[in-house]
Amino acid sequence: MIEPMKRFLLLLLLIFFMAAHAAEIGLSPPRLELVGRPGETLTETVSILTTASSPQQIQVDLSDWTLDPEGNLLVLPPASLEFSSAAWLEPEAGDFILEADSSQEFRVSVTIPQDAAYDGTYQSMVFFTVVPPPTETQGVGVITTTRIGLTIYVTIAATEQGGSELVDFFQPDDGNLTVAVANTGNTVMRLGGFVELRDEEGNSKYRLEVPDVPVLRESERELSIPLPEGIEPGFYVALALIEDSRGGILAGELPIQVP
Amino acid sequence: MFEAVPSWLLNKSEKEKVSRKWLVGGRSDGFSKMLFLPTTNYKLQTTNHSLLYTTCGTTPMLRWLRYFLLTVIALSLLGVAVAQRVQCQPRSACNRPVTFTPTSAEYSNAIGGFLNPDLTSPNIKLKLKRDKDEPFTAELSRTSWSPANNIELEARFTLLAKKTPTQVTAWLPVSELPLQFLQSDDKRTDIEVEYRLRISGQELAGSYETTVQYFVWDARDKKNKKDTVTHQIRVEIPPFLQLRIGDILTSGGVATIYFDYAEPNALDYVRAIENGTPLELSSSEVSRVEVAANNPRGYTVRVSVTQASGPVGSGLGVADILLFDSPADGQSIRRDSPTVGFETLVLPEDFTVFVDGDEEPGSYVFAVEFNAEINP
Repeated sequence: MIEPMKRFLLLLLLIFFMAAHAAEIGLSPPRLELVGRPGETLTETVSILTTASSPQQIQVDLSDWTLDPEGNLLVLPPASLEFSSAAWLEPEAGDFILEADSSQEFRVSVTIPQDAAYDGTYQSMVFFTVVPPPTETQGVGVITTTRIGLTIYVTIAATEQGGSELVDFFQPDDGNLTVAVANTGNTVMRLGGFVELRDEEGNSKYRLEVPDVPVLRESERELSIPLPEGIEPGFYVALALIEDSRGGILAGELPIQVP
Repeated sequence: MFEAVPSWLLNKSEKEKVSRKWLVGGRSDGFSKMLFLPTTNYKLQTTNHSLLYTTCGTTPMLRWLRYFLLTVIALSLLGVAVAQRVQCQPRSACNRPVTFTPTSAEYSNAIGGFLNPDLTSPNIKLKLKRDKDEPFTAELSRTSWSPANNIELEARFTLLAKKTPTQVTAWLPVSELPLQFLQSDDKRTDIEVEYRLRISGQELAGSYETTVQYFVWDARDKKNKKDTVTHQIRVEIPPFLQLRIGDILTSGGVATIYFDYAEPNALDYVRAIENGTPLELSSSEVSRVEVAANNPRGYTVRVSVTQASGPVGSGLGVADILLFDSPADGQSIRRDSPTVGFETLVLPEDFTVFVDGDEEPGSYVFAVEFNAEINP
């Protein structure tokens, strides 16, 4: 133990750089949902804003993204996913100066390939990264950033196909129900609806809202639906009526026991 | 059948038969009715011992006079019932909603400030009339936003009256609770209304509607002497995401959290190794990291850490930088609902450093990056 102490009598200085004024960045809207025909170029404008007191350099780059079955966002390099639209995107600039305490419009163009092989919805993300100014700390040449992502969906018109399936409905523990839904279509779908808990006589006792969440094309999503706090112990039949934003309704039934 | 006939249409003998007071008329079929004839006379004739009022013929002039008379009576009755009259000026102005549909940039720029109505919105002007010069009160309220939101609506009034000089009120909050904005005894007051939204950045994205009601009444007689006028307000709040570092103390544009365990704090380093506890920060130029998102499905903020510099071959690396007692790199903070204003994600003291004695002495620099995205 003496040895490390001797060594650290010299110096241990750890520094985290977190962007300061330069890290403050806002985006509106943070999501674009574009629909176009093959060969068409769509251009949308978003606002990048800051209340920072000095100008900031903003770097623009692209990424792919997807959701895991629990709905967690996974960000991946551009054009690495099958349903990536990153290659179709053309941001207005690769970097720009965002003036102090200002809002600046930024254009993003999407050119849909003239290729019949593409159908349905593709997605990607445009990141705006704040490049901090050089720091005066000795020996430090660190680029520290804060990034904000613009989510982009691109749907090719007249190629949309619906389709959804209630894959599973179970009670993982005493306090939750889980619904697994598959999107077998080629566009993003959003969920809605409710799960009703009925007692042994068939009387509706509780009604649980299904959260409005997306299910990406050709993927599955597991939704955890907490049982109500203070629910009376006993036997119930859980009746799931889940709405697919494209018009379908998925129904399922599950007998459950609440201890 | 009977009908009022102006006396100038009657000949002299007929006029002699006419009473100018209350009359009881009856018909051969048993119908009877009391009539009050303040200015006109009736042509009478007797048939089979019953009093019969007969029609003198309905010329266009007579019909016009009849309508005129009825209108005068209706208006006078209405005037008795309602001492205050409040109307939109012109009335059609209140048929269209006052709209706020900012672009994303306009909304962003308005955060911490205000948004004005669209240029195409109607200008709301009210005309307030009274039958007597008696004090009255004007109040304003709105219904709750539909769907629910925390939008702050404000109004300002320019009051133009005969007896008092023109007044411009302060900007007043318009809520579900009635707001008294005028007490006056003028016979006529013209009110020009201006609206604005106070933008905090906490507004949820979406389309919202409320109904504004103006209510004018006389405190001494609430039963009859009141009147109301309403109109709609529609607001579109664009979606929004913002990430910021709070209360930066440095002026150089880079804020730092320090873990300085050189002398005289070296013993703390040793104790941390012995106890197996991570090092806590020694000072910070960052007060907090905050996020604001009005997306209904919330946001995700991912944390990444890179090492920028440090002694070669040291045992201290990215994995030793802890956030909430776990390696900071790769952590993500997810919330599935919108924030209410700016929400604090991380405080500087949430960062710690794991040490186990294999660290080389020297200076280390790590870069911490926060990536914010809305939940898609």
